[in-house]
Amino acid sequence: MLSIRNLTASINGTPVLKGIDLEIKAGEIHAIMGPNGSGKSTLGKVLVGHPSYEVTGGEVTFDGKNLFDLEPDVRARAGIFMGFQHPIEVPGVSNAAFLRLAYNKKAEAEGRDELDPLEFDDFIREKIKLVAMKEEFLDRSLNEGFSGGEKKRNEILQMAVLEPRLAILDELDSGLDIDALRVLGDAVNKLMRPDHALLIITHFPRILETIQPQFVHVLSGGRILKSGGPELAVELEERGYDWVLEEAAAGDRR
Amino acid sequence: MMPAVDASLRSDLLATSRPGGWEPVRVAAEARLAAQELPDASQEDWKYLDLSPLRKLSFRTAEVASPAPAASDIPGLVHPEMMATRQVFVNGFHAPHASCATGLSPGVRFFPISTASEACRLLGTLGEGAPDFFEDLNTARFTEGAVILVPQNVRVETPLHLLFLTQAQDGGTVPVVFPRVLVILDRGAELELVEEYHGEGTYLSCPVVEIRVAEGAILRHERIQRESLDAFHFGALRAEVGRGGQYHSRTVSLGGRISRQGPRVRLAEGAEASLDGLALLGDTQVADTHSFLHHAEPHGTSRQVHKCVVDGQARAIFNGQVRVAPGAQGTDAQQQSRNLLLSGQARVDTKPQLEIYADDVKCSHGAAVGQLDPDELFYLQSRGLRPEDARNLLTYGFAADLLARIPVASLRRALRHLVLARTQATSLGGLA
Amino acid sequence: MNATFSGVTSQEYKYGFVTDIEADSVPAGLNEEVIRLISAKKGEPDWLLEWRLKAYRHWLTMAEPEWAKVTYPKPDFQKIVYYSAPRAKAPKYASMDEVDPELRRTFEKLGVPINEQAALAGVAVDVVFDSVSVTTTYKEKLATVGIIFCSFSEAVKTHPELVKKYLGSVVPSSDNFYAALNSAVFTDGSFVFIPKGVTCPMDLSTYFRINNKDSGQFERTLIVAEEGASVSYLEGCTAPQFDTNQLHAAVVELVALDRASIKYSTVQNWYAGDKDGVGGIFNFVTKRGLCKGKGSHISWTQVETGSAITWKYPSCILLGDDSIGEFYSVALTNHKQQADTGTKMVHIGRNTKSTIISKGISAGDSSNSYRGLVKVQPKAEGARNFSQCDSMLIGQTCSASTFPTIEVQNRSARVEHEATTSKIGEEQLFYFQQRGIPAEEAISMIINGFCKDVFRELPMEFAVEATKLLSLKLEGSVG
Repeated sequence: MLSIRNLTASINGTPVLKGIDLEIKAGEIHAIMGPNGSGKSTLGKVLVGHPSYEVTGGEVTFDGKNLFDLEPDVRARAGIFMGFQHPIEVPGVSNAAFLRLAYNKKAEAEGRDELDPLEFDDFIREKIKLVAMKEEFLDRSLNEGFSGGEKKRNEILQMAVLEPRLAILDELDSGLDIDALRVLGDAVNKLMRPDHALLIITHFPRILETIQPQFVHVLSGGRILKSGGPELAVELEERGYDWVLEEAAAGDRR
Repeated sequence: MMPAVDASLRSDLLATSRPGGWEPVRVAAEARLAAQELPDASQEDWKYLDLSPLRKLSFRTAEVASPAPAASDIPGLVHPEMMATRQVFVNGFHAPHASCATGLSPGVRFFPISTASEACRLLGTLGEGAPDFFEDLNTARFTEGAVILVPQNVRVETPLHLLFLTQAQDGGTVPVVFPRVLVILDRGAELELVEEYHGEGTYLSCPVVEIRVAEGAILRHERIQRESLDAFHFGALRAEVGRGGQYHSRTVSLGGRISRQGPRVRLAEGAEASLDGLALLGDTQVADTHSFLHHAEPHGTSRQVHKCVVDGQARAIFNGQVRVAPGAQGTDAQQQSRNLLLSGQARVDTKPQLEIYADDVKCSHGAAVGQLDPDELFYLQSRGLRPEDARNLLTYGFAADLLARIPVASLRRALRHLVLARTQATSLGGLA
Repeated sequence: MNATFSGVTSQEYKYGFVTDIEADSVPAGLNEEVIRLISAKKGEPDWLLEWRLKAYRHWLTMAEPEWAKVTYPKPDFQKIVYYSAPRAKAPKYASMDEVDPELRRTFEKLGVPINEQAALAGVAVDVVFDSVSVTTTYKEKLATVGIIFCSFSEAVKTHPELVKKYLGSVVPSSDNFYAALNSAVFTDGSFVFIPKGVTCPMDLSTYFRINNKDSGQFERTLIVAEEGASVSYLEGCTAPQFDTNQLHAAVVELVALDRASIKYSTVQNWYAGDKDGVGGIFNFVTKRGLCKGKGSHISWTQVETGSAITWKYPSCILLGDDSIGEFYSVALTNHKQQADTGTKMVHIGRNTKSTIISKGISAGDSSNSYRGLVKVQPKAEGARNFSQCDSMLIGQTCSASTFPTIEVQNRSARVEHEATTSKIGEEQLFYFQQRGIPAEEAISMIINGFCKDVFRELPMEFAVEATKLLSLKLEGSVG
């Protein structure tokens, strides 16, 4: 589904990604882990076309198409979703109106029927149950004045509305208490389909107890230093990141 | 012995010309004055300030006080924290016996302008914008004032105290004083400065303060205007804050029959400024603050809180302009004008102004005129305070809030007592 | 910045066409003779001519105001045509069938329903073309409940006592430079009178069109709502695209007696000049409402998108106790447009309340200023004001300014002003795009969110128009 080859990217001329290779197939759950400032979030943002980052090399294909030929909104309608670590606030724009527009744009692109406000109302009332969000948040301005946890709920609600084939979730657990994390983790699991894939970006292994990846990658200094199965996450939880970095440094010296 | 001055500072600041080397600046001011009258309400900047009482008076330059005042003549105006770092000026003349500058940090210079063997080349050149009538008057006529120089990376631990005292006999012509202050902080320097005005009788005080805060330097500036209630005070201040520098000032206006503060601050890249003000007015006092905060370069931060408490038939005026220049992206500016009217005939005119020429900025301003919050009043009453005590306490709190961060304890205490007295909250006791 | 945000060219001004129609004009220039000629052409009574002449003589002593944050070449008042009317058999069309077909097509093209069977049924329309009102719909139906809705010229003839009583009672002929000029040379406009206790059964509307290249438009609108009456009034404006500037100096006076309510909404889309600032209307307008009676209510809502220069401060004089004044404004400037607009709320009566919501959007090289005055006079016990003025900047070469003035002489007053500035952030746009929403739609959604508090004050059909208009005006501006 997603194929990343030797991807390099920079921000304001400073290289952040220094050659990433990653293959994600339908039905897979991958976790990218690493210390702060390792380039994890950058990888997600580059994949969805954030304007601050410049792709300096390599290639990424999604369903065989060159991702970098597509505008961010086209990538989104093609089925790539990113749940942001710090979702932006947009005063004055109601959450419900935003969700409906996003839904209808995707429906339009896929040749499905768009929903009028009443139909959408029924639709969204079902969806919010999944993330246990209060209905009042639908009428409020998009993310405005939401707590960190409420913003994350809203991100997963958007994921539920858009049903992306590839969802990239950046630090989903930050700002969430343990109960909320379980609710959102379960919601993400329920949204997973055999033809979908997930890329979980996280600093803490905690979230991986709920959303269990088959593949774990350690990213540091803009490179994937180590890849493994779920056992790698367990090891990282017990031993931290330093040993991976040391191992990699030793490897470089050899 | 003259303290050593950093060589670059010397070349930058001090010309080797004769004393009074600022003659060209004086001449220019003189020329502008020749074409000017006392401002009147037809000029937008003077719309709310009625200067007609000035027109009825005749003025003369103040003369030296005799006998020469000593420290013992100014009890209560000397702060223990600044015993040995003070320069005192009486009636516009330096008062050597009342001053004491033996406690200066090495390299710091703090001296009367008249004793400068060298002229300060920067005088009359700092800041932006055309000077107003009173500033020109000062530039054309001043004879005395203070110069403060802090060399590179010197962090001055003890605050400096500048005290301007004017004593006028009532009747006859009105004496005028023109205090002049130049403050230069070289790169990375740090200083706290207290500038105070006191007096008795009817007089006119037209101070001008010029400030340069070089790259990374920090100036904290307390300005206390406690002129006599019969006096007139028209002050100008110009500050240039260099890259990453900080200028924090707090102006407390308590005295003066008619007074005006005109600070103009220019911020270079990444510079920070706070420009707070408190005016506590009663009787028929009129106090005007006309400020200009200029974000001339990107990534500057400014905060301005201006508070007025107006009683009697007094009148408070605030005109605060914040300008974000083209290209000054990343500016973060906040301005607040808060006003409390205590009597039926008090009056407030406030005009905050934002002018923004860059899009990636965070700017806000707010202005409010009103009474005390009824909820707060009720809360205090529910705790057993009588209504008038509750009102006085909240009024005191509104004003004293701005004094809390004054670093010089004795000054902070003195001002709190004054505010307490003015807000008739003395019955509450012990708050200050 | 990615490619979606650029490369979309600005929407052409779609009302920029000229109607080729024979006009009856007076020669350019201004003097007492021209004023007498205008008055004579309109068959006015002597008192009105005298009123005009008095205003003119006063105008001669006045100077153009300089305090607004706008710069423009001062109009040459001797080059302006002060009267231009479509030449017709009858001075006023009795029904649509008599209207010149060319003129009729013009208004069809503009989407103005001058035909009573038109799509926008339910709105009565007075149509002003250059200097004269060409037709008024639903007049008879309104008359059955005692409402007078006609052109100003007609009101002078049919209801002189009302015109005489209220003309200049809110905006005196000496009020300011442009109001004095208008008082001297105004040619037409609308007159509305809602008698005691009547709620106007439909929205009333005037549509203004400047067509003549050299003419100025100086209309005058007077709306009087008697005790307990209420009315909602809409105003729309367009002008052809010329490379010269035309002057529009209107005066609107509103009078609300006890418990009366007047809601006045404007969508101003005069030609704004091209993207280099060539041409466009100079819109120098004086609008003021007098809340004369106890508990009266005047509400101004404006969506200002056009004109090269806008100088306009719809205001409320809150004279009656418990009266309410409101001002809701969206002002959008793009390219070289300059707007200096806002309001005055003068609290005179007891327990008077005012609300000001102003949203300024600047794009291109434009300059957009809010200027306001909230004045609480000594006897205005319990006066309350709340003002919120927000600016949004799009691009690095525009400017936004806020100049609120607050004058308070009563200690029981409570006046609050807040202003913020924001931009349509790259991050905001990106967030929308990541959810599959294209940039242009994202911008439109963000702008509408920004203006929501004002749009909800507009009558439904106007709100839809306003939303579309803003999106069109901003196309290609972000990025």
